[in-house]
Amino acid sequence: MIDIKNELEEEGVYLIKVSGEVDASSSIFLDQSIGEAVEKYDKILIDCEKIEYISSAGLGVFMSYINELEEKKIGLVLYGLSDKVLHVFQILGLDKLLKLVDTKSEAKEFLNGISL
Amino acid sequence: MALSGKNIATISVVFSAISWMIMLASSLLIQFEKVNMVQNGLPIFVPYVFYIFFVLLLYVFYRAQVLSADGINVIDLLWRVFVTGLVATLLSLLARYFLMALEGSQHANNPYFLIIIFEVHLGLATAYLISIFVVWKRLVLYQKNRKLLRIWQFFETSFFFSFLFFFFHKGYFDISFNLILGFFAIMSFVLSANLKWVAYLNYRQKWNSILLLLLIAFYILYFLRTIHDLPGFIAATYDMTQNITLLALFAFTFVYSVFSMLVLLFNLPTSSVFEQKFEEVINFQRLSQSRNTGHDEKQVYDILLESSVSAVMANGAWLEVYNDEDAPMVLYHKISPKRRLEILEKLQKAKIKKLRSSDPVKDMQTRRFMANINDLEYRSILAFPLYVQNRELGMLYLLKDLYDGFNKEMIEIIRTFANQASISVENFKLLKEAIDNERYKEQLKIAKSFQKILLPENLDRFDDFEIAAYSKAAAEVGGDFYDSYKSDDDRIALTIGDVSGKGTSAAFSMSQMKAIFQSLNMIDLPLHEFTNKTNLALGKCLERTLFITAIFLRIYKSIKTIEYSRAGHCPLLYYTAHDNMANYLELPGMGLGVLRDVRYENHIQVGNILYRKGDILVMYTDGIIEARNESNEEYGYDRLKKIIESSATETCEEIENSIVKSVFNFCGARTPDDDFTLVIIKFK
Repeated sequence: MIDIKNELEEEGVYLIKVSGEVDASSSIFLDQSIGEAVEKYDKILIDCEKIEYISSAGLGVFMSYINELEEKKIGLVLYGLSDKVLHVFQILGLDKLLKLVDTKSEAKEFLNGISL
Repeated sequence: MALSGKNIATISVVFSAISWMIMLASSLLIQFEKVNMVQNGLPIFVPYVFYIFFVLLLYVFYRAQVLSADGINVIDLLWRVFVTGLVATLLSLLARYFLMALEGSQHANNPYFLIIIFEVHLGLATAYLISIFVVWKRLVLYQKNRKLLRIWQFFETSFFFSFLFFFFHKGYFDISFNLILGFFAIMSFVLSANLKWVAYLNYRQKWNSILLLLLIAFYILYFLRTIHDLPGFIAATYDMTQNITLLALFAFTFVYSVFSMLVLLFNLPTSSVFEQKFEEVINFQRLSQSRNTGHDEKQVYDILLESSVSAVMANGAWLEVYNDEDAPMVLYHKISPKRRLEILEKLQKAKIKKLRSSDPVKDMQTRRFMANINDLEYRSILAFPLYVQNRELGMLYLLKDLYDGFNKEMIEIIRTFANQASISVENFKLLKEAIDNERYKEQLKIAKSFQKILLPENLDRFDDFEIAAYSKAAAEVGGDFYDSYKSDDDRIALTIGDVSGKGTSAAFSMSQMKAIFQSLNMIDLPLHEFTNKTNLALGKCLERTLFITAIFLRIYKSIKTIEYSRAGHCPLLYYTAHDNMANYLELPGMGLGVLRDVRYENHIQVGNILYRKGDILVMYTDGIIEARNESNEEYGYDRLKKIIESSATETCEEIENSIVKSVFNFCGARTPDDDFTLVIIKFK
C-alpha cells in the first residue's frame, strides 16, 4: 500500500510525501504524482521518511525522470530515506544520479542553492 | 423380417381390396343361389366375414399411414380426412349417377347390379370412416394420460367385439342392439371431451379446422343417408341393420366431429390470448437459449425488445443499453430517435407511478416506473431497467396509445423478460471472460516453456571449479536470468541478472538481455567496454521505466583470476577459504538502462579477485535478500553470508540446497513474492 500527499511548500517548492510500500502496483500512483509535479514546478521535494520498501518498479519510476529533470533543469531532492531504502538506491547506482539527502532542511538548502 | 410402415400399408391395402372383392363375389353368389334355390349353398355369413377382414385391413392401412406421418400437424390430418371423404363421395356420386342413368331400364332393378352398387358404397363408407377413426384416435389421444389410454383401448376392443354381434343376433333394433349402440354413443361422447389439440391452434388454423370438420361431418351424413337409402340396403344378402360396427363408427366419427367443431367455435374468441401466451413462452425460450446458439449481446437485446413489444402489444418502444464510456446504444421499435427525445422530455413533467410500493420514489427516474404522458400518439409509458450484478445495464421503454395501458400481468411478463435477458447478457460476459482467461493461461504456458529454454541447463565450466544454479519464478514467468559463454579454453564469461518488474514483460526483456550477452561475447571486448555496450544496446530496447541489474564476470583459468563488473545488481558474495569469511564485494556500478547514453561509461568499474582452492563465489538476485516472512522481516544479507560460512565445506549443489532450504524455512507459510535465483561457484 502506498499513500501519496502533495502540497505546495513556500517559495514555489512542491512537496510530495510518500509513505508505505512502493511496489509494482503502487508505483503507478507515484509516477502520476511526479509526472504532474514536473509539469508545473521546478523545485520538488520528495519526503521518503515513511517509505518502508521500494521495489524495482518504484526505482524505475525515479529512474525514468532523470533525463527530464536534467533537460528541464528541475531540482528534485529525496530526503529521509531509511538505511535499507537508501541501500537499494545505492546498489542500483541511482544515488549518483538523484540527489538524496538526510533531512528536509538539507533538501531545501540544496534546492535554494540551485536557484542561486 | 421387419416390415416398414410403407410395406405394411401396401400389403394391407392390397389384401383389404381382395377381401372386398371376395365379399362382393360371395354376396353375388349367395344372391345367385337364392334366386336359383340352391340348397346348402354358401353360408350367409361369408360376405360378412370378409367384410370384417376388409375393415381390419383398412384399419391397419390407415394406421400405418398416420403413424408414418409422425411430425404432421392437425390441419394436415384433417385435410387428409377431408380429401378421403371428398374422393369417396365423388366415387359414390358416380356410382349413383350410373344407377340414375339406368332408371327405368330393366337393369335398374337387377338385384346383382344393386348388390354391386351397395357393396361399392359400403366399401367407400367404411374406408372413409376408418380413415376418420384413425385420425380421431390420434386427436383424442393428443397429450394422453394412462387413464385416457385405457378408456380408448377399451373402446377399440369393444369395436372388435361388436363384429361378433352379427353371429349371435338376429333381431331388428331390439333391446340388446339398442343397448350396445347406446354404449357406443356414450363412449363417443365421453371421448369427445378430449380436445386438447384445439388449444394449440391459432386463430386461422381454428377457422380452417372448423371448415374441414364441417365438410367431414357432411360426408359422414351423406354416406349414412346414402347407404340407408340404397335399394341394396334392403336387397343385400345380409341385413345391414345388423352391422352394429358400422353404425357405431358412424356415431363416433360424427359425434367427435360435431364436438370438435363446437369447441373450436367457442375457442375462437380466446385463441388470441393463448397465442399471446404461447408466443411469450417461445420468446422466453429464445432469450434463455440465445447464449448457446452463437448469438451476441446485440441479438439478446433485439429479442428482448421484440418480445416485450409483442407481449404488451406496445405501439412503440426503445431499449437503451449503457456502455461504460460512450452514449447509450439505443434500439428502436416503431419510433424515431427524435420522438424518443420528445417523449423523454415529456416524461420529466409526467406523474410517475411506482410499480411496487417498495421502490424508492427518489430513484424513480432511473428505475422501473409507469406513467401517463401528454402526447398525441402515446398515452402511457412503462420503463424497466436491466440489471447485471447490481449494475444497471440498460433501460427498456414501452409505449402504448391508451392511458394506463399496462396491467399487472404485462409488467410481470416484462420483468421476466428483462431478468432473462440480463442473465443471458451476463452469461455472455462470463463466457467471454472465461475464454479470455483461458487464452491468457495458454499464452503464459507458452511463455513459461519458452523461458525455460532461455536459462541454460548446464553452465560452462572448467575443471578447476564446480558450478550450480537455481532459479524459481514467483509467477508463471520471471525476470531473473543467468547465462554463460565459453570464449576459449582459458576464459568463461558468466552473468546473472534481474529485469525490473515482474511477469511476462520482464521475461520479454530478459530474452533481449540473453541475446545481447551472447552476441557481445563473440567480440573480444574488455569487460568495461562489454558492460558499456550492453547498456547501450539495452537502452534501445527497454521500456522507459524498465531497467536490468546484472553482474558480468569472467573467469581466467590460467591466471586464476575473476574479473567482474556490477551493473546495479546485488553485490557478489565471495567466501575465502583461508579465513573462513564471506564478504560482499560492494563495487560501484549502475543498473543497465538507467542511463542510456555515453554518460553510463563513467559509472562502470571493474574488479578483480584471485581465487584459490575452496573459495566460493555466490551470485544471487534480490528475491533472496528481500524474501519476507510472516512478520514482514527480510531474509537480508547477513543470513545469506552466515549460511555460506557455515556450509562452505559442502559441495556446490549442497550449498545451493542449504541456501534454498534456509530461505524457504525463513519464509514459512508465506510464499516468496519475487523471483529468486542463485549461481554458486566453488573453486577446486
